[in-house]
Amino acid sequence: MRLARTLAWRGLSSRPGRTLFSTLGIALGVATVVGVIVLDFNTIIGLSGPAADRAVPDIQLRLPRGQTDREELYDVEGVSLMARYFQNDAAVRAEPLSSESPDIPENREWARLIALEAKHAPDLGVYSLGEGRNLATDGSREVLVGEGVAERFELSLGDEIWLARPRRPSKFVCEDGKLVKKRTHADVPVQWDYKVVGILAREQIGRRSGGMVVLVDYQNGREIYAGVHVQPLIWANRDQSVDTERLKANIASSYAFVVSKAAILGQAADERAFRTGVRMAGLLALVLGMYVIFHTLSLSLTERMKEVGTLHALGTTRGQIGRVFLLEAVLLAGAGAGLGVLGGIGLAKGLLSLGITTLGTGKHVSVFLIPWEMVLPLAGIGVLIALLGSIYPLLALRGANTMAALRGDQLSLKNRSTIGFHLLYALLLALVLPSLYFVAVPVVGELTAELLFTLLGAVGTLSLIVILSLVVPKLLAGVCTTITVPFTQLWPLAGRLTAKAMHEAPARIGVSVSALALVTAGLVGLKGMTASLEGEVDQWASEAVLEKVWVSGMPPTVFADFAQHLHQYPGVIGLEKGGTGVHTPFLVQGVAVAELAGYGPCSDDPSLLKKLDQQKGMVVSRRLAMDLAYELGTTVPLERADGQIEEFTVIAISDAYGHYPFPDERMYGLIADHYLERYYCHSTDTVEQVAVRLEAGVDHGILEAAVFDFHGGPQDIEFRSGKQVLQSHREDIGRDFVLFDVLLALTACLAGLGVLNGQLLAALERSKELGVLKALGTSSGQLSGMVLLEALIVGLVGGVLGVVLGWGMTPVVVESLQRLVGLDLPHVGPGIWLWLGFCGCVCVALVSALYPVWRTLRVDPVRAVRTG
Amino acid sequence: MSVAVEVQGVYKFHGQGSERVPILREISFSVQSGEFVCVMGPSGSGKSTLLHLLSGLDKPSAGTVQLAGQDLAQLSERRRTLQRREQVGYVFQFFNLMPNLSVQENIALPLAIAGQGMADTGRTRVTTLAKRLGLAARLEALPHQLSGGEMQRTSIARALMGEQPLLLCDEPTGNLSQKAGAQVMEILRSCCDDDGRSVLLVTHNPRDASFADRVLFLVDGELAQDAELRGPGLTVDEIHEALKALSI
Ligand SMILES: Nc1ncnc2c1ncn2[C@@H]1O[C@H](COP(=O)(O)OP(=O)(O)OP(=O)(O)O)[C@@H](O)[C@H]1O
Ligand SMILES: [Mg+2]
Repeated sequence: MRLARTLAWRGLSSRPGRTLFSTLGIALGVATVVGVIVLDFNTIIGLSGPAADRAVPDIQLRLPRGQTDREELYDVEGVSLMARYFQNDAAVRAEPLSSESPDIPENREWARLIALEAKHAPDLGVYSLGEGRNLATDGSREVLVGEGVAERFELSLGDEIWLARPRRPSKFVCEDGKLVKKRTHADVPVQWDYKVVGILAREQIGRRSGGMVVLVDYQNGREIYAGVHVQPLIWANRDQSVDTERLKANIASSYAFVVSKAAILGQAADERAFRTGVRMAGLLALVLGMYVIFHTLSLSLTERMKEVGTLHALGTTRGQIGRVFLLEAVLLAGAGAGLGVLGGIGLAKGLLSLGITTLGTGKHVSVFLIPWEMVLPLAGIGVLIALLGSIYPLLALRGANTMAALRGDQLSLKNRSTIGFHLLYALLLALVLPSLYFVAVPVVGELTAELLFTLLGAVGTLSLIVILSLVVPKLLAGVCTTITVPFTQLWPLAGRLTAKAMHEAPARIGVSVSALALVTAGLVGLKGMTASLEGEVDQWASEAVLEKVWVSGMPPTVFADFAQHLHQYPGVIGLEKGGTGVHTPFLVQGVAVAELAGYGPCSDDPSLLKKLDQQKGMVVSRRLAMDLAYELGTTVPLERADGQIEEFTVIAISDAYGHYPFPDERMYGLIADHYLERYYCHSTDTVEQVAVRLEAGVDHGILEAAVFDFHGGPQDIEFRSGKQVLQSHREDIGRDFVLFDVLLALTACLAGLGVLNGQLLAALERSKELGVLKALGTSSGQLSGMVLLEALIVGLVGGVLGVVLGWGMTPVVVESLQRLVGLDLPHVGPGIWLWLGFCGCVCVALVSALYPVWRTLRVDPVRAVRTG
Repeated sequence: MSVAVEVQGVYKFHGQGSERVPILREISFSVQSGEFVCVMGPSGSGKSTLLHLLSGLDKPSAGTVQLAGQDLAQLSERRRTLQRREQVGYVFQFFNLMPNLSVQENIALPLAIAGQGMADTGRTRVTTLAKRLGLAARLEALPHQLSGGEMQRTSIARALMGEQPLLLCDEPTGNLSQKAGAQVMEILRSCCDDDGRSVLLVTHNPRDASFADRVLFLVDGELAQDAELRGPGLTVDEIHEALKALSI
């Protein structure tokens, strides 16, 4: 009989309820946090595609005209690495072209030529080598070939190939709004002798053109393309520690750029805030889970003090007794963490299969990977905190009165060690756990002062409650006891017993109350935040969509005629052309300038019309201005279709023009339609969809009639009103926050479990007392009344505390979200959720008491009276 | 002859400051190995407290306790615990069985505490002890399924299991019938006579006390030196006399 093993095992198995619910508590906490992390991981991986698909770097930059020096780019904050680059076609031959081997197709193959600065190429992470080595950086003529090329010419390392550019082709270019065919005179490309030093694996760049790729140093590429103009680009990777919007703002004023979607997925400000919020919910769950094990450890010891005293009297050392409790904690925490990891993975999988991700709802993610490097530390933290908690018996034994325990005195433990343990646990939960958490789960994006402030605020609130409940539990218990007084009038015995029980176990009451309060506060705060987000959409909508109707599905329509026709009808103020955008990299749309005169900033300041029309003015949406730090007067370099850079000036920041529900984009710029045509050869004379701005209160029926009149019938034309657009935006917010609802439901379960566990342990701890009460004739009703009354009071106090806290927290959350995300959020407040949160809290407390009630009623009076 | 336990000028107070009450005053005596000593006294006179001090569970306010030649005050908490494990078998006044362990496991507990497995020798000893104490049929039962006497006998068996040289027995026959009580006394007596172990017995029962070599009387926290009775062959009447004289 191994002492520790037997005693620990018996301790767990003789109290299946306690074991089950404690394990469940830890499991639920760990599952929530693991679920969150796995979900987030797979959201990012799944939506940005696997690394093997990555054939472009994070950012592709184009220098403005006349600027060639790229060294200064190194000063741009947020860009970590860059390499000059261009790509074009190359003829590959195994034998040089000569009079003996004429240019016959069998000897030649076309391949994609990638010229990339050899010095930085490997670090960009856009190709991987199947065999061989990287290009030398001394400019020697070396080449990496794709598998396709290698197979075609049966190449192995060290072989030679000849590369040449094609004869200059004729090509079409957009010149002043016209596609012009540019003839080039015949020329004879030089062929160059290259040594194969590596073969590209068939992924990333190596997969392009079916493996028909050759990669050479940038300068060598220029040599191959000597005599032909090539547009140099710069490939760069982003510095992960700098937020994307700062990166974009830093480069947007000087360069035209394209940021790879994969590189910034989940990195936009609102996405970061969302993901950070989800992580905070995970932390909350973990703390609550650890609360449960705190209950278990601290209460199970009081209950078993007599056993511990006996063991001590029989000569068991403190170390041996400590081992019993350590083992018990290991088993509980290990089982809990194990279950939690499985549950968390299941949770993530389930949520993903429902289309719920950490970037909103309705997205399809097909991969499922488990980031063990984050999951295992998280589970480890749970186990660690639980194990540290088992130090308690050792501390307690030092202060415990063994003689009193031997006599069966339940109160033998009420002394300093209890306070010490509570302090220790408060420290663990409030400081160590959050710190470890943020080590295991890095924050999303850049740790700016605002983010730090917000995180500290959130963790601080969490800590405050944890510390309050653990270190000065008498405060909360005192409040609860006071509230019991009126109930004592109704149920004298239950009331008095409850008051006494709460008075004697302040820690249990404190932990239960604060767990409920935390979750309630979370709910209220979240709902307050959602309300503010909806408010923001309302605000935006009142400017951007409310008085508009979108007409789509029209046959190709001459815009000018259509506009003229509609203007005959009363209430039509202006028309915007739909589907006229180019991506440069943000959406730039063309507008018929004259149409804007009647509303928005142009009606306030008519001089804008001229600037827009003749001085390359640009109206940018508020989101875009925020995102790229554009202000009035900012110069915006746009890359034209021919690769040249054209500069526009921001003349207004407004959402009044240009929003289209499909695709729903709130970041865009507007330029006069004739510029769009001139620089992008994008004609906007005919349109298939328009947005019509109406006067307030105008019947949409009139517009429909006007459109049908023009087109001679309804055909497939669809109308969408501003109200509908707003509605779908609000629904989007609701859908995106489903994940939070799920997480809050889980934490509510956890808080309930905390209450349940506390009451259950109290019932076990006091089973002797309860048994004696029963033996003396206390009725079942009185006993269950006692447990329910306690739950009710805990629920009431937790609910009030949570609602007040959440209500007070909402403006802070909204304020920090505003700073973090750069949204202009109105303060709306949680509204009805104050009541719903409170009622929910009381319900959770009462439901959680049901099992303890049952357990209390099952206490065997005979056994209680018999066992000494 | 060696000394199993020796007490010198021991005082024990409870409480603090003005509420400080003396429980034991100026207690000095010793128990030789192989000796059977009985302590009698009225309820609340401090008998259990004395046993706590002897076992090193509690510390005297003044004076020394030497257990097997070791001054307990000189030992660290851990050493003191180990000393108790090796030297003392304890029958508690309130049984203190482990509620989750069966009778058999409760009896074998000292072996487990000492880090020994339930080897065959251990198992046979458990069975033998259980048989001697009339527990053979109850080996698998849990404490709450036992009668008061069975609980008491289990706790006696547990104390005997460890084969420590000193047995401290706090009213071991309180819940036993006369016959069963006498059997237990026989067993304790044979521990002294056959195994050379020492027994310190606390009891209210003169019949039990008559098994002892020596009877000490504890009154109001002090040993009544003059009343001490020495055997062998103490009779029940003799002890009754002494109790009456001390008006116990
Ligand atoms: N922790 C304590 N604080 C104050 N007084 C105590 C404490 N423990 C015991 N006492 C007192 O010490 C005295 C001696 O107690 P003890 O248990 O030793 O008596 P006892 O002789 O064993 O009595 P009984 O025969 O009834 O078991 C009692 O008056 C008791 O009230
Ligand atoms: Mg006593």
